[in-house]
Amino acid sequence: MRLENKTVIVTGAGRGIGRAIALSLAREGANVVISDINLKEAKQVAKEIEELGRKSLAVKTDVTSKNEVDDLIKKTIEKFSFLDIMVSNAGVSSMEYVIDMPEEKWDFNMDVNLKGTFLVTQAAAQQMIKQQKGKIICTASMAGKGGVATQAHYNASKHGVIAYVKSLAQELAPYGITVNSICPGSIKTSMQDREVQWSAQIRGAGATPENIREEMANFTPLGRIGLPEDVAKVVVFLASDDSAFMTGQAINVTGGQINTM
Amino acid sequence: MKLSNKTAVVFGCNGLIAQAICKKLSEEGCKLIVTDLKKEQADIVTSEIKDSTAIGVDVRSEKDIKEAVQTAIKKYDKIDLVVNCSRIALFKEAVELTENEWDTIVDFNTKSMYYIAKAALKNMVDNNYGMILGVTSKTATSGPANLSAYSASMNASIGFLRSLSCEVRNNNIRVNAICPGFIEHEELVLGAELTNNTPPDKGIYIQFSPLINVANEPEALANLIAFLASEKGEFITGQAYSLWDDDLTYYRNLGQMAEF
Repeated sequence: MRLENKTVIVTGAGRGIGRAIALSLAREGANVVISDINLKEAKQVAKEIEELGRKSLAVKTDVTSKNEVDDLIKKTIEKFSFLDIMVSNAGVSSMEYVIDMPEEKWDFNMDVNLKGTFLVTQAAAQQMIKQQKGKIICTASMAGKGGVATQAHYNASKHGVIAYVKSLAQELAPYGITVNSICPGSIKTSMQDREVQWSAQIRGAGATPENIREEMANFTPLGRIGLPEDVAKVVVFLASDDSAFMTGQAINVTGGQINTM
Repeated sequence: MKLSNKTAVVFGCNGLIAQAICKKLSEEGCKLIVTDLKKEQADIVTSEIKDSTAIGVDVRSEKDIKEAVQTAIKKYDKIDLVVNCSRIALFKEAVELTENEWDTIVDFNTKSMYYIAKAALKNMVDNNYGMILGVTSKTATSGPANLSAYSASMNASIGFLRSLSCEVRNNNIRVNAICPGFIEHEELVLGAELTNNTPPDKGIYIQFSPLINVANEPEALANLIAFLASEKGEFITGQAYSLWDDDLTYYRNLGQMAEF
């Protein structure tokens, strides 16, 4: 086991990619704090972690609230007294053409995805600087490297995460803290379920969510939609000592769908 | 002249890059609306340029931006080009940044891009012609220390523009970004002013690009923009251009550079 007795926080861990990350880290021996805006789902995942024989803690966190983020770190330190790894994963998406995009949609994506990343990593960094040790991993997206219609706000937020991670990595390197991001491609999650439905609606002309998903798989060189576990495996690598000499990177987990570094 | 009968709005003109852009666009025959947070700054720029109007615009206000775009449409019947040069920077470690400082930087640099595009798009779609251009920064891809909010906002703007370019391809509207290599002192001063900080000494920002004579960069960028806006640039969209490559960490890390 690569992460025995490490303390990890995963935000947005109630479902989807975050849940898979939390469970994969626990399988490698880590104790995992499950943070989510939905406490009921967080508690369910925390229970699954405990069933694997690890310690866990479910915390309700709205990552756009500095108070709640600070509270998350405080509760973690109270229980585990150390924070080895922070996985800033909470994220949202919606679909809208810019020309009709209401300001609330812009704010929703930018606040949760980009500002949430700032607040969560800042609070984690403050703790890790005291420890002179730590690893930070942020969930960005392949949307952080390219452009696609109807997701300009989402793309902006994910591009922002990638650049922010590079800067933060430079700043925290002297303390022995590494900061990396992962860029998932088309992954089977509830976020994707919503997106394929929106896409079908926007496209009209008899398009179905199934068509859209099939298209996504066809666009992916490896020929399938990814699973949350595909992403989680790379996060385990970034959380482990195997990635000790990597920092400031944005790692694609896309089945070959995007070729940009 | 490459841009006769074109109308442009340039947002934010307190830096050398924006001023070089205004001058070049005007030389190429473009009619200009020039805005700045401080109207007197826009007045200075327009006083040296023919066919230009100065307006005070806070790019954090959608209302101000809509009014500037409407002024252009009223005066010249259409808007062909919007250039967003509004950039502010704060030189501070991420662990020290306050939430308010973060919001100020990201709103000023990135949300402005969304407001400006949205305000200009309707007229551009009606005319089946236009270009939206964002002046961002090489920090979008290099990610230097002490400029995390700035780098994040700059790459966020590029992400936004890339997606937007896909949405308006069929309306003959081009969307591009340029990425200047050096940080202008003016954006550090304004960023510090808007967040109640003290700007760093003049000169620290120049260390971003030690191998290049950056003094020539504003004009070079202005030439590139004039090209992108011209008929010859009409096949170019969704791109983010910088003028040189320096993908070396030690140029990015100002703390280390200061010791050289």
